[in-house]
Amino acid sequence: MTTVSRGSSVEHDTQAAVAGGGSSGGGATTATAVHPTGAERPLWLDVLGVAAIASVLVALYGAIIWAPTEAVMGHVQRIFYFHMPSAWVALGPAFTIVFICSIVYLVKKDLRYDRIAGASAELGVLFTTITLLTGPLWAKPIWGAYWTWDPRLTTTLVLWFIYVAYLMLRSSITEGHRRARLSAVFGIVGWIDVPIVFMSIRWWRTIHPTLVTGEGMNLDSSMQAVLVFALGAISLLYVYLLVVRVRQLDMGSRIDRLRQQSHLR
Amino acid sequence: MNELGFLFAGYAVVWVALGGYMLAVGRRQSTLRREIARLEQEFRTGE
Amino acid sequence: MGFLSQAWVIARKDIIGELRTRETVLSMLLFGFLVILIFNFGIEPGLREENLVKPGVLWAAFTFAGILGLNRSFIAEKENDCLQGLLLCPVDRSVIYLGKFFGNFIFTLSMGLVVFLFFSVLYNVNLVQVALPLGAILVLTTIGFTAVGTLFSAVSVGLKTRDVILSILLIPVMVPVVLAAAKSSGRVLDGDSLAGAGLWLALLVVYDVIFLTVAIMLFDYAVEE
Repeated sequence: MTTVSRGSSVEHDTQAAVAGGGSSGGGATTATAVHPTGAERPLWLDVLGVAAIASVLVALYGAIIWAPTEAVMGHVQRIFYFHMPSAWVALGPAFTIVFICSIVYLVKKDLRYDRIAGASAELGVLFTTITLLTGPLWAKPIWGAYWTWDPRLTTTLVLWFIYVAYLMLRSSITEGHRRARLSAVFGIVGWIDVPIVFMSIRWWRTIHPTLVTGEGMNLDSSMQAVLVFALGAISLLYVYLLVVRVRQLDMGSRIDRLRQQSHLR
Repeated sequence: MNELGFLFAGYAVVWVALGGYMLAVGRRQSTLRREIARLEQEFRTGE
Repeated sequence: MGFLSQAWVIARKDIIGELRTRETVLSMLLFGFLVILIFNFGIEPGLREENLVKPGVLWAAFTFAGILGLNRSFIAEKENDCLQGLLLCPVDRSVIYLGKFFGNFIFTLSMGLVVFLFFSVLYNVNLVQVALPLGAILVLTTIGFTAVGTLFSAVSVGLKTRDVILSILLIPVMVPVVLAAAKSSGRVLDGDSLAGAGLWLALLVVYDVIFLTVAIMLFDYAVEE
């Protein structure tokens, strides 16, 4: 009798795991009602995904074809329309969410916040990597050097190291709450460090005159429009990927629970 | 490399990185699906 | 017992242990010397910009040797479950943090002092002239370094990859400290007064205050069992 009741609760769990976000409500408890593929994604998520990808494609069109060629820098300047938004998404929302969710986890001890922090850090590193790779490719033909120790560049590099360290810390711990706790400690310290890093590097570079600055780019109104649109598109993509990744991590943790139950039987 | 070469390389980096990440997420998703199917099978035969 | 004297008891325990074995400070020192030695082969003697390179060597040696010491800070506690006992002490967790911090501060500071001496002999620095400003920089740097270092040492001690992970965690967060230390000591070595490096000293003080506070607040979560 106990086996049966446990079995049916497990089935319900399986269904919840498949449903991901828990939007399926009560639902039937029979196993045949579970379809691993198909309708388990809520509609709004698909709409968000289509909107994100479509707007990134529109931004691509705007950046490559619609925007006029920059007078001084020429075609290479078109990298900027994706370089700057990636930097913004990583340094702004992505790493700030790691910080906020780290604090919330330590207060509430809810692993969901840890998963959000982990997913956001992953995306932050992804977008920082894009920033760090596109920057030099843009700088080389214009300034003649791939890298300059410009404050923004250097801060971005240090930031990249901090959050790669954060991900490495996460990957070296397996147990859920322990990983959440320790990575939250590092996530908070790392984020507080960022403005200090920026200030220190800025002082460092102003004491020794900067060779190259990022200023002096003239953006006309259509260029600005493309930039703002690309900013929105990349932000939307970030939100979409974050939701998908968090749901996936949620699902993974439910499966882990199920697996434990299956071992118990 | 000329100017357009750099532009091309820049965009290639963006799409390879984003595409690679999405591919990785997608693959993980299908692994999870398989795992769910396996667990379901296990529970069903166990009863 | 007051807050600070409680912390001092914990620090004293570490210092007595260290005086008996002399393991940590000696290995830190030797490692620091070796870093200076190996860096030396990369620098042309009599280089015109030698004064710009010297502080870099000094603080690289300090950082690497310091991390070596921090790595061991909680290892001894982990053996025989001493950490459990320490955590069971009827004191606030921040007291335990401060105790460990004091201990690490003293070890790192003594390492730093000897490394400075070694460095000044090898690079012909007249220590008497710059002893005071350089000492102030060393103290401020060591506070910031060990404040974050003690916290991260507690974070990494239970991990399989602890030696590597502590360096990976600590070095990027230490960027402002090392930068400020190198720039201000560079000024001092150039014959500037301490006031010439005022901005950097202010940065060090701000860093020390912020991270000592943050670490006291977070230490509880780093050791919670």
